[in-house]
Amino acid sequence: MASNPKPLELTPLPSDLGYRWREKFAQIGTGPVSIEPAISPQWFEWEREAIFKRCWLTVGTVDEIPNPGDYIVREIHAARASILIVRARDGEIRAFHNVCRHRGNKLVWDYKGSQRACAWACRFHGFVYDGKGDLVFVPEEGNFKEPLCGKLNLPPVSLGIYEGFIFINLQAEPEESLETYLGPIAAHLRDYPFQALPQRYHYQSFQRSNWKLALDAQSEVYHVPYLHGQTWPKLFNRPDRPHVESFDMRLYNRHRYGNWPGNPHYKPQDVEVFALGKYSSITRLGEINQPTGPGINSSNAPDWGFDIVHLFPNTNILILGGVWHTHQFWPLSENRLLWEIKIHMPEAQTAGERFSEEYGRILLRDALREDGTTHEHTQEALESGAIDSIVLQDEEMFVRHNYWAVEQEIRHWRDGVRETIE
Amino acid sequence: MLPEAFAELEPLAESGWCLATEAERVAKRHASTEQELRHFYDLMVPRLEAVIAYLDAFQLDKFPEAEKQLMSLLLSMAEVTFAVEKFDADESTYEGLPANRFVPVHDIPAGGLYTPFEYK
Repeated sequence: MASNPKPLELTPLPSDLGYRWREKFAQIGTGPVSIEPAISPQWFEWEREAIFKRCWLTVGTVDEIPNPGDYIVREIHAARASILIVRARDGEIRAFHNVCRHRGNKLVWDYKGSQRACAWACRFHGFVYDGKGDLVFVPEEGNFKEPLCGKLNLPPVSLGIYEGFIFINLQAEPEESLETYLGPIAAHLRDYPFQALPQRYHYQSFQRSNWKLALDAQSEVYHVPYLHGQTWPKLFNRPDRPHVESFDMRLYNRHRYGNWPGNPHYKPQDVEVFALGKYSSITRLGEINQPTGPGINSSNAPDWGFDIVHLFPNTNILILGGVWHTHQFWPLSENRLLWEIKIHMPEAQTAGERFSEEYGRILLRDALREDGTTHEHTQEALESGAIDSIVLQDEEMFVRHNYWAVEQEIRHWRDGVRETIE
Repeated sequence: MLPEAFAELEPLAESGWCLATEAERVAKRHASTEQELRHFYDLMVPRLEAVIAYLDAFQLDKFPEAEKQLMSLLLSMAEVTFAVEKFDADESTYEGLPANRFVPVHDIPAGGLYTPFEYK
């Protein structure tokens, strides 16, 4: 962002601006997009079955559970599943359904923590499971008709790890490997040192919105000078690219990748200049500030601002100089959403750096709160039935792809057919 | 309450700006008047670099009590700076979700009971 000492060289606008993505990706459609997927309870039931119970879902990063005994719990409401993810004594990360095999009580009730003994005890009757999911202790076990330990183990959940990201799959036997599922998007996860920047901050917001509407707002920059006109004046938009016109967009069958400019001329205000400049921890990172490789800043622009890696169905990874976020959109129903944001950045080493990161986080948080308002207003307006479709400009290609990719997944599950992007 | 060198910032501490969590700091910002925000900002700006230089001599997050209070005041300054510099201290035109609907989970101690932050 503004704190980075960057060359002032500006990438010129392409000559086919305004129709380049429409022509390149014509096969995903060019017309208005139906709003039914944002308001229909039936559509949401299809999404539950076709997507959230079948796809590989990003549920965290390995740095959230660095030591044996560490655990996190993920509530996957759309699949009606609670998943316990643990690091066992042998160092392996494993996932289980968070349910005691005795009488079905939820085994772990908090969202994260650490059990130094690498054992998890049910609060109801004291059944104890180890990090392999094995039942290892039952109070008064002799009163049961037969021994239970080692037999009545936690139901396992398929888990995969790629570049430090933890994925789970709720199918009993996943129909695709994680590698196949990720396909070409994996290349965009390889060229950034994600695990060099630890998770530092975590927000949750429950909203009255379809999950896709919230994802849409994090999939285009067209809205920034309007919705964030006061919170982010000129932070990204600059005179030669007033709407932060993209450098690159790549649509894959499920996933997508994009590359956008920053504003190297941004002039922070009086105190902001300290927060974003002199005291910023990001400036000591060196090359993480301006990462290189074919999968990141794919246009290799000197005036790079940020990249978005979208992992289908519900995760955006936003990568800026020295900071990356995950945005996850967890549906609770067709019009209820849990929006979860995790921010990875360098550990502050001084009070000045701590002040800087606080300010930077407020800058992000208060713009995201503005996005939240539009999610809810849009949901309400769409549910009124006043309009039946939305229209999209060329720079909103990610929004179009969002609806297309969801529909393909449902058609694949329901009808056994899907279109592919050549 | 604050280290002696920063006695002139004491009124800010007395009016309750030394707050431990982000949720408390942003709530205080939104509950403050334009005059209160400006007063905070105007008192803090001339001492900002001195405060940071002073605190930088200590190990972060292992501050003695007075320094801990000063650090929380510095973090409140981040909230106040945003309000004053982006909104000219008048946030009546800000239309984001209420701050209490955007929950800083990082301030909730690990192991605390998971609550899915119900809303009405």
